[in-house]
Amino acid sequence: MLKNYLIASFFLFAMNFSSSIFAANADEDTSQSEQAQQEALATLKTISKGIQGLKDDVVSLNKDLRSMEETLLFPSSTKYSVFVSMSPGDYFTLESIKLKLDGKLVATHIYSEAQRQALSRGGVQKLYITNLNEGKHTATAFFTGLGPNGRAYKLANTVDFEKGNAGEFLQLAIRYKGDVQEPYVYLKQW
Amino acid sequence: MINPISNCVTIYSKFSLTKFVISFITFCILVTNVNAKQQDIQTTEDLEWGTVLFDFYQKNYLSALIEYDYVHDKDNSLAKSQSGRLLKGGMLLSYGMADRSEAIFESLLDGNVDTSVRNSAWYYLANLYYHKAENEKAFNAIQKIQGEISPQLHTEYHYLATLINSQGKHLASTEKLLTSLSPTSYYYAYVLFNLSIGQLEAGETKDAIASLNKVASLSLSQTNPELITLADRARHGLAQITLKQGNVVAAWNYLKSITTTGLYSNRALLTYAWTAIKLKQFQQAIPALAILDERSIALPEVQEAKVLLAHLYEQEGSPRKALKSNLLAIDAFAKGLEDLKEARRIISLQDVPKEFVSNFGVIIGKSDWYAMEPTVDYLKLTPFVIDLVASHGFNETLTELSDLYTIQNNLSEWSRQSKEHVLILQNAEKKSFSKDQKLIIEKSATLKKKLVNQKAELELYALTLNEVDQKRLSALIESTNKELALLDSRISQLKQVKKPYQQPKKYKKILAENHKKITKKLKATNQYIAMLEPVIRKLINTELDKHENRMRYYLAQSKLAKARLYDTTLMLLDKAKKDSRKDKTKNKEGEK
Repeated sequence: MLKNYLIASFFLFAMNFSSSIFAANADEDTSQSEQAQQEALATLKTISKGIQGLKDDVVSLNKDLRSMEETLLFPSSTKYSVFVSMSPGDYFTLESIKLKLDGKLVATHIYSEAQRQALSRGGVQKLYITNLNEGKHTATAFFTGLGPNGRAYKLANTVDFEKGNAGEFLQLAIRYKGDVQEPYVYLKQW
Repeated sequence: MINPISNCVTIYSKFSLTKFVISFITFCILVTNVNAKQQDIQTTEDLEWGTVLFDFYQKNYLSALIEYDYVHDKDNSLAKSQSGRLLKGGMLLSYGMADRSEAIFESLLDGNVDTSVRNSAWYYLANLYYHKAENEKAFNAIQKIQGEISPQLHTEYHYLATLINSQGKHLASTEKLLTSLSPTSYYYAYVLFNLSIGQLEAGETKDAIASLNKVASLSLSQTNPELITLADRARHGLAQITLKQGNVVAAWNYLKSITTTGLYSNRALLTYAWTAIKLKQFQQAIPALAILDERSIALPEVQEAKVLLAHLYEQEGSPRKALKSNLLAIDAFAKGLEDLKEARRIISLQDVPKEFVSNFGVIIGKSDWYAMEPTVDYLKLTPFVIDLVASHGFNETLTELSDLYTIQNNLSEWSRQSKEHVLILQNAEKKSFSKDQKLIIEKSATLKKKLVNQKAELELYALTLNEVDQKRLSALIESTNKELALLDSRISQLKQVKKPYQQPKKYKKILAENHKKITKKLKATNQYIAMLEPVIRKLINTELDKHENRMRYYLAQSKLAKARLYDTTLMLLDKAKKDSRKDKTKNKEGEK
């Protein structure tokens, strides 16, 4: 009994002693680590305003570049933009979309979960921009996805429209039929 | 002994991860509410505004802000509305542009705005000040929220208010706010935990223990892993407090309730083992240490456990087990040091910070500035930098660097495209209608006439058929009609075009100016990256130094223990030899 007690006491002493030596080393390491952290924060503080200014300039420059590129590539008289939207509800898991303009396949897209969520929360995707001349045209949209109970769905709809001499929009929307919540494709020319 | 207060503060700071997430969720919920009408698209403005939301909901703040500026430039009334500006302020905040967002919130508050927008703006300003550690300003801002608060913001407002009150030592206000929250609320446990930290810091240990006990008991009816981890932290905090008070048995009871597999299990298992040793229940300490012994050598608790386990075996009177443990520990430490060497080699490579940051999105949840800090998935992260990732300095540097890399990619892409822009303009200048093209238009017209005639013949022929065959042909005739109408429309449009479209001359100048800006901003971005990359390298290397020093120390401990065990064994053998010789001599003398 006494032997056990002595062993335990010795052991505790040994461990506490070694722990205290290590504690000194650990304190030194911690202070070095804290110093590095402080230096990092100080560097950030110094350049923070500059980075915020840079971000602001980059946002503004991107807007200008985008406007410029659109002006170059899509003159306002022929510009034609296609958007995708979804009504709120969990009745259709959108997987992919295909768009045909005048019988030609012009755009396809496979949706990520984040994009699906963004659409169902009210976001609108700009799917495609092109140039269309004045006159009659046809647009067909094909949607694939899963409906209620995991049933595979293929939805499609076509719209005939006459393009005027200004930029126009086409909205491809997934909507749900009243009580049955059956998904369908709604196309609207704006 | 770990100071319970500092330990709990560490817990608290790690908790801020969740806190930030909650703030962000609040923002999303609010914006969803503000833009509820977006679900029903009535105008083209709704469509364009929806594109801003599409990027925003995916947390692509740079794209969302560009889209916002783009639609704002087009006089989109939604972008210019109060709620639109509120959204921009929030996005700027999330994209690390705190100064700009502050200006937007303040300008909203200067004007005549709806109560809900006003309250939301004050809420975000309070949030902003709180995260900038400007506690007095945060307190003043939260006090300004008056009148009806939208149901979506109600709970979050209370949560932020408790955090701010805790910082400002307004514990009575926090307790009052807590009573207005339902215990089933998602935030309740966090508010309670933060309150206990405030109480601990204020020296109200008894109240702090009561609050922590409540947090620990909340997990009993929960399956939410986040709350279970929170409860483990609370129990560990309780154990540390009671240990400091000298109540080892109470600490032991708290430690026994902590799960052995959770995020907080390493520290808990080690504390459990030490407490068992203090209670002289050495056999109880061994299983906890044995669990730790199986885990990654990069964890400080595992390193300490390896040495401690070997010591326990030695003191237990099992030298073979002790020797084996020491030998395994030596191997493990050697392997750990090799891993560290490799980690240092990798971090010194040229593009490593960029790759590290690029892959950080996979390692952590998508990060953003004040609204949400990274939610670390510890399973995917090298254990050497777990603690580092939770640190404020590393997080902030990494977030800035990540944004700068995104900007670098964005501008590099524009720089590449700038050559294409020039090419488009050059080609456009050369465009003219050639004779061939005019001929094609004329031919198309002739072809169209021919097709119209053929269609008329087909229709006549169809009339001679019976009803069933006529129906079959009708679809074909209908589609031919459509094709012809399209062709007709195109031909008439082409005939009207006198000359090909050519861009105005001013575009060339605008292009050149924009391209100059790209080069200038790219240069500035590269300079900032060059300033921050060494900071990241230094932070990681300092962290690795910490690991190396600790492992070398434990390696030396294990080697000493091994030598001691060998010495003891040799001495025993020597003693046994001598005893055996003595016995033999005695036997021989006896025989004589």
